[in-house]
Amino acid sequence: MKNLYIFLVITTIFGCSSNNLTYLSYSPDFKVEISTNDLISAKIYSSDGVSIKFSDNSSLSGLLITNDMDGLSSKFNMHDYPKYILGVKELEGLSKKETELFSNSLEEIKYTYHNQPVYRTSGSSAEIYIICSDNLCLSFIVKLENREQIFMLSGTNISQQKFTTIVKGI
Amino acid sequence: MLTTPEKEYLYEIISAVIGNDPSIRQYRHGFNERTVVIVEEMIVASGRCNDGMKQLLTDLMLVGGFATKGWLKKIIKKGRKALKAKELHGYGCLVAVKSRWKNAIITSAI
Repeated sequence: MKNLYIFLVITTIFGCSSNNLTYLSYSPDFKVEISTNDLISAKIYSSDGVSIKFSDNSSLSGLLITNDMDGLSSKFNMHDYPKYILGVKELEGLSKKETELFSNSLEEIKYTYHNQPVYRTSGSSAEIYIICSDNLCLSFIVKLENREQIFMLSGTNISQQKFTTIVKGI
Repeated sequence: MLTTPEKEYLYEIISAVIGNDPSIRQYRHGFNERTVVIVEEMIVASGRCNDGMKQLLTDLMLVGGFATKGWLKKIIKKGRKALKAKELHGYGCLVAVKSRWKNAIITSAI
């Protein structure tokens, strides 16, 4: 099930613009735009989703998240997932198991990201949450019309600025 | 450099923490000292996800004398079965947390 919506479509556009782009498509709503030049000597591999290790040793990993992957109730609003896991919304109205999962995960993220603040931005169709610390970045993207899936993109050895640009392009 | 038994032991520890994972298993022959560092970081961070692991980490630090960074490398190199699979089962964090560590492990071994 975890890979139900995950399929890789790499569409490389040559000659259409000055910046050649490659798209990693995880679902119709979530596509990651990468400069084709950055893909030279990169390694693409599959873990839970499609991931890339670039030649400069940075990496990006995408993952579609749905209720069933974590055993969350079908009533659970996936749009709250980033808010709970990043601690921007109080845990309330959840089952004991769900509360424990989010609480544990929040503690782990606080530890790993050294309690860094969460950057939030939203547009007409999406909400974005980003947290970075040292060489690690983690983001969640919520598409307002898609209540079944949210998207997570994590990055390693990548600048916060570059990571944020990529996330905003999703 | 890790020997084949050391790589197998490291995979045993990884699967004890986050469960058996075919994608990581495929890369176990590429495990190296960087992987050991990442797995150590994962275990320490995962103490927030798993009470059993929290206790085990406390024991390792206080009783085993593994108080400083690099303790997992010592365990792997000595072949000590200090980290038993049964003690680590029960990962208590969401897939978003687990997935990030899985990717870090794989990229270290590619």
